[in-house]
Amino acid sequence: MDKFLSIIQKLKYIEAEADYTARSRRFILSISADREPKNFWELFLHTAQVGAAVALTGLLIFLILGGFSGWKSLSPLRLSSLDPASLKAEAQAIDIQIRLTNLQYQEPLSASESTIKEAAIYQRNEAAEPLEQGNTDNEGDQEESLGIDEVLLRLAE
Amino acid sequence: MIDGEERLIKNAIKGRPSAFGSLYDHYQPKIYRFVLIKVGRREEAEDLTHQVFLHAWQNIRTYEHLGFPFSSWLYQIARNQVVDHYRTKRNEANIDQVAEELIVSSSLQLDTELNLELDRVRKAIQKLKPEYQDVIVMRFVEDLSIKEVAVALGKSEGAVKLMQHRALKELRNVLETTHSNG
Repeated sequence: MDKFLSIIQKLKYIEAEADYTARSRRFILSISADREPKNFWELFLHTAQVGAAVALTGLLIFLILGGFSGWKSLSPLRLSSLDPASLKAEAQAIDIQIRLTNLQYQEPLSASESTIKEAAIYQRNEAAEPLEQGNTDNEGDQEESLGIDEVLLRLAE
Repeated sequence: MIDGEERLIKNAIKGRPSAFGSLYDHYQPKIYRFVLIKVGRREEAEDLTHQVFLHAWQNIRTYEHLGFPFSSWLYQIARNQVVDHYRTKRNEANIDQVAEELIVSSSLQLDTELNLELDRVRKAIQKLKPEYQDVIVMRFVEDLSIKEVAVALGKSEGAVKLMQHRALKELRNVLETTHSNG
């Protein structure tokens, strides 16, 4: 039995290769351990960091989930008007106006309409001529024309 | 157990690499032997030993010093690593087909006959149940006390004594069988 145990005990002479041991040791110790904070301030900073991270995450979740309801009442854009049905109606109305405007400008004038237009232009010119003449006749009067204040002054005298 | 082990552990928990380096220097050969005897291949033993110490260093904060040697905790990690290793590997190679020369200490004279004897014992130990392997290596190779083995294995001291008795008996049978066959 003693010989049997002594053979087993010789297994303790098994060793790892020195190169492997040095490499493994260097690699492990180059990694920073997950260690506990050294003092109160480190603990405080660590807690503050964690707290800030949690708060920011909460704020982000709040903005994502509850942001639209707040935006609806606060935004000048009035997102409530983004109702699909009203938007569709509005879009259709805009299309109609554009079409009508285009018709007004692009449709070629008919013969009767052009005649009416020409007559209107002729009448406008005729009406303008006497006015021009009248204006030339009154040029002398204009030199004598008085202001209201002056007329009132004269009447008072 | 190293002198001033408790202080080294406290400093290691504070994140001081030099303290953990001292623990590594003391316990790495033991853990390496333990793993090599169980897995049988040098490369695998090196990988697993590296993982054991890496895991220990990264989780040193979780270690609670209860008066037992630090090695008990390391053996627990090593056992889990070996179990995980076999779970993923499922015996890709037959241990009898692996003929690797053991790296022995330079202090021991490299006797061919002794090398063969060591190899024969190692292979015999590998044929035992994992728990028996643990008890044999911890008790007779690493000279741990019954109490220390009980802590490392999570068993009572009585259970360890019983396991040791059965493990030795089974190992003797295996060795006699292989000797008569060889």
